[in-house]
Amino acid sequence: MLKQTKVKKKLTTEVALLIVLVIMLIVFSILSPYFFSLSNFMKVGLYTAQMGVMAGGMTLVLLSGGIDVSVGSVMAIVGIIAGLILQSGGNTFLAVTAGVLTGGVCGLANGLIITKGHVNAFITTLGTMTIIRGLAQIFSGGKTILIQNSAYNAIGRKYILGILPLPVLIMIIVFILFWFILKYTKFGRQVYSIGGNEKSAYLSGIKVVPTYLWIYIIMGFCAGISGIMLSAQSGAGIPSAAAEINMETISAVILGGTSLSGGKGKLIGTVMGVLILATLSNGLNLLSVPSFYQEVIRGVVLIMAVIFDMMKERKKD
Amino acid sequence: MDKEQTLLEMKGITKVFPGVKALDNVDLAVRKGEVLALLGENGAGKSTLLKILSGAYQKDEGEVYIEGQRCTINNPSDAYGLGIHIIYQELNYIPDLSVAENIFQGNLFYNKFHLVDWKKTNGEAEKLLEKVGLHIDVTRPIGELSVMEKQLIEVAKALSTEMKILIMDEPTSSLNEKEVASLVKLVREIASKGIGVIFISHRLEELYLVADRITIMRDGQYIGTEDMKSVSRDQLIQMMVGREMKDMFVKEAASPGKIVFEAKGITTKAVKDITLEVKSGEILGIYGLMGAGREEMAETFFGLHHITAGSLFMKGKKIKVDNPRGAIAHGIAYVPAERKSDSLILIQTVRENTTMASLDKITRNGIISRSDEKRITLKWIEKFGIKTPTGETAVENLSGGNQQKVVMGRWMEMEPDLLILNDPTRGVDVGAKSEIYKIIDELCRAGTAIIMISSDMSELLSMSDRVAAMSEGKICGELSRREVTQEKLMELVVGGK
Repeated sequence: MLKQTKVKKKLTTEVALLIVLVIMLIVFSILSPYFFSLSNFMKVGLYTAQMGVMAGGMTLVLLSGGIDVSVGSVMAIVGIIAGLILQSGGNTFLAVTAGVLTGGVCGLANGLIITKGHVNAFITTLGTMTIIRGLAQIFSGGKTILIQNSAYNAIGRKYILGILPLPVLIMIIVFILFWFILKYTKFGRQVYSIGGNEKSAYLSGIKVVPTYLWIYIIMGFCAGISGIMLSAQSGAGIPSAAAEINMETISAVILGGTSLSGGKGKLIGTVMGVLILATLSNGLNLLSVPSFYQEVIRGVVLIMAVIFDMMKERKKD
Repeated sequence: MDKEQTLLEMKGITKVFPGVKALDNVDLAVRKGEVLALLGENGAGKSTLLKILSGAYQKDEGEVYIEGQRCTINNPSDAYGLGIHIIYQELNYIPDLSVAENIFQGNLFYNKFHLVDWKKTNGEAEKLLEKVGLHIDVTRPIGELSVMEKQLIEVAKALSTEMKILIMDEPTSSLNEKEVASLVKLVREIASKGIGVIFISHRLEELYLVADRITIMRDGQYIGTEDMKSVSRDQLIQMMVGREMKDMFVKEAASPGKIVFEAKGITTKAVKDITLEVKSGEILGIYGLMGAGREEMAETFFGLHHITAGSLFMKGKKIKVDNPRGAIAHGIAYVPAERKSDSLILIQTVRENTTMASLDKITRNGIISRSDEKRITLKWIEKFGIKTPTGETAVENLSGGNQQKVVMGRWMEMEPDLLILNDPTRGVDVGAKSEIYKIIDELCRAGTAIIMISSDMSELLSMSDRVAAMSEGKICGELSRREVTQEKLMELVVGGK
């Protein structure tokens, strides 16, 4: 009996998302002649990769019962730092390494404030969001840092074999990596455990503080990679860049079924969430729906997804 | 009834919670102007009975009469309307608001501009506190006051209403001797105004001072009511204990081996000078009433509290435990009393919950071995007879007894030298209880040293090789398996001699 209901529940969560995605693909294919083509999909992928990579890290953060709204600012500062390094003659390898490490350091700072300072994750990252944004402005002198380095720019623009954009490949690798971490590693299990019941986890000897720290550091690395891809693609480090991506990323993860209270969710759901949001905005663009309306639609979709999830929870009780 | 006027009468009160009969046909009567003490072990049903009276719970059967009138109490405001006032152990107040604001809560006084009339509000508050002889600055935040002062404020609030019955749930548990004396005096004064007072406390000495009569409860049943003047201490203890022992699993006397764990003079914020030892293959039972510091002691051994004095030894070697992980590394396992909030991750599977404390053992290069995990899970499901469809079932779908077996499996997999159990059968049905006793017995015979805390005296008596009694953060006595009786144990914890 119990086993049956469990299997049934599993089907509804992931399959429901898949059905929504398929319906969207069909509807947009009928409405727009440009929609259903490989090149369009790759273009969608190219513009989604930054959000997708961050959604991987954000899945860990939300699973642990936390949240990180500073990641957009991290992306901006990473672009500035990489740009400054390239301008002063540094090579691509150095710029990328420094950028990703910067992201990790920002994440470590968040993690330390949350665990050692006992500050709520939302408040912490709300604070660091403006601090890091301010630092990006200070480092760049408030100006855009132009990046004209073909090797670096390729990270955001190159098509492998003329068909697969490099950012899409990076996103796929990140997804596979996080899927593996969450499913098979001890670290992944610890993330679920502290998100499911931090006290029980602590009383069972799980290292709670280091786990939290690593979650935010990894989130920072993801923001670092996304920041590199963004600045490479746009050919500039822009201090005011990526202001809206925080909420988009969190939306995608929640849409994918990860619970805001932690402990529950899967990477496959996050992938679905990312794909649905990306398809939605691409389809609406092709149909020339004005962006103001698109924002309204995106918000409605997110709330409906959460309501659907809550209804399922309640039915279980 | 007697010539004295009966104010409150509860007849045949029964209350059933899922799986437990909390109250079984209980009677209680309070006369006008008397103080009735209510006595019983933890879990005897005192709180449930009073919550029915105050409208927090609904009774399943029985009747309540006030001044001979049958009445229904469906919610707290019904109780209030009938003149029933209850002062809980955990007082309800907003710490940052002033004393006066807390007293009047939603009913402050307003002037003609509909603004708060502070002069009147504070003045009325002072007048109110006068009744209980409390002279304090009513504009101070209530959080700064002592427990006694807060109690007095509650009493004053009650006195300002049309009160007939005042219930006080362990009002003296955190008061010092002087405060207890003045509270006793105040309670007598209140009773002399014709109010019926129900007074709960574990301390027999003060009950002799404050109460006229005493009603004793045990295991959700009414045992009897006595005149305080004519009943002896020993009689009271007899009535409190005397739980039936038949049909209980009884552990065979063990032959303890070497000393595994020792505590010498352990002192923390909550416990004082704890010295004890446990041998391999031995169960040390710990008995104490609520607030005696049993749980704090166990948590201290598991690295959850800062030790200010004393040392811990494991197999003769001095150890330092700063957190659960450290304690586990020294071979100490702890099963907390609150299964759902402190032990399990309810939304996760039996498998994940079973392997939680031994992840290091089954992880290679950061990757958990699936086959090891499955093997371990199946091993404990089989060994402990855990009733679950599969190892992949979420643990929230299991019964309390089976959940506890999952927790036991988790700690056994760790192969501890010392196992600390805190109320291991709380909320577990009778059948599963004896299975858990069997498991504990097996572990003991396999050489594990066990400390078992329990509120259930009969369980302690049947399982322990020795029983230590705790009261007010200290160990107040120890009895061997041969000498221990329920009476002797109760004598120790209610402050014998």
